Amino acid sequence: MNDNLKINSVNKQDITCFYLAGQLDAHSAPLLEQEIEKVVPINNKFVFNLSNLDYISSAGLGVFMSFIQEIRENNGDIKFAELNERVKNVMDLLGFNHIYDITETEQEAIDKYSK
Amino acid sequence: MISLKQNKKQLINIPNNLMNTNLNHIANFKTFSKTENLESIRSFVFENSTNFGFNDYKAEELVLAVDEACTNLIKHAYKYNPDDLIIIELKSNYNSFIVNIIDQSPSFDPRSIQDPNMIEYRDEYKKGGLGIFIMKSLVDSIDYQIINNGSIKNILTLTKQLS
Repeated sequence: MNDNLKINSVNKQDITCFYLAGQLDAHSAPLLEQEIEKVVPINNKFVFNLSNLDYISSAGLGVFMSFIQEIRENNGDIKFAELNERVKNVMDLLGFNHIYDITETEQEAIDKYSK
Repeated sequence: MISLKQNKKQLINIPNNLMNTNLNHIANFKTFSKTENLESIRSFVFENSTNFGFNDYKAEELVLAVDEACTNLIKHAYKYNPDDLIIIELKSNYNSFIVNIIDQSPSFDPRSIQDPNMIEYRDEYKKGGLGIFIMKSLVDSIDYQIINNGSIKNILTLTKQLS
């Protein structure tokens, strides 16, 4: 049913890296919410690699906003890497670059956790 | 005399950008109020706006604005009732591209919503409420009219100029 978004995750050291591909809108946002909900009790350090994410709307961005407070209260974080221009423009419009670390490469985002 | 008065009254309700005469109909799209239909709404707007002359970047801005408007309709106005209808009408007026989003929900004028305070927003990690801000940021004008001919019809009009 939610075939417009593919979600994979890989643990790298103590960080869960999510790979999102496709479109993150009001239709696929609940799927992402479920996937994050599964991992939040186990881990609180996340990197979202968005290199294959073609589209994001406020419904998608709202998913991250709904988890970030709890995650940061547990000394974790959500960081974003490898945004394409389309997704980056939307995040910039809403000032996400002031709320989140957004890096060029996934490795940079991972490295930020050890600083 | 009475009919003149009525005509004038009807004209007042027409958004300014529809007053001019060079209005061309481009295409219509009718779909049910379901989030799974957002993707086809986006394709419809993207295809027709690039055909009109927008570059991909500008067309994607318009697509996102329409997505936000329709998402609000599906979630808040129609409350996920999949039997309700959304109609998208595309028109042009000289170098303006006009998107009419028509629904039959209880009326809600998104222009009445104040822009969020972004600093407060990020400090308090608020969720939601950003769609209307996005919509307002990405088009040149927003009009809203309610037509009541026995049944209610709301028309949200997003206009973007080809610059």
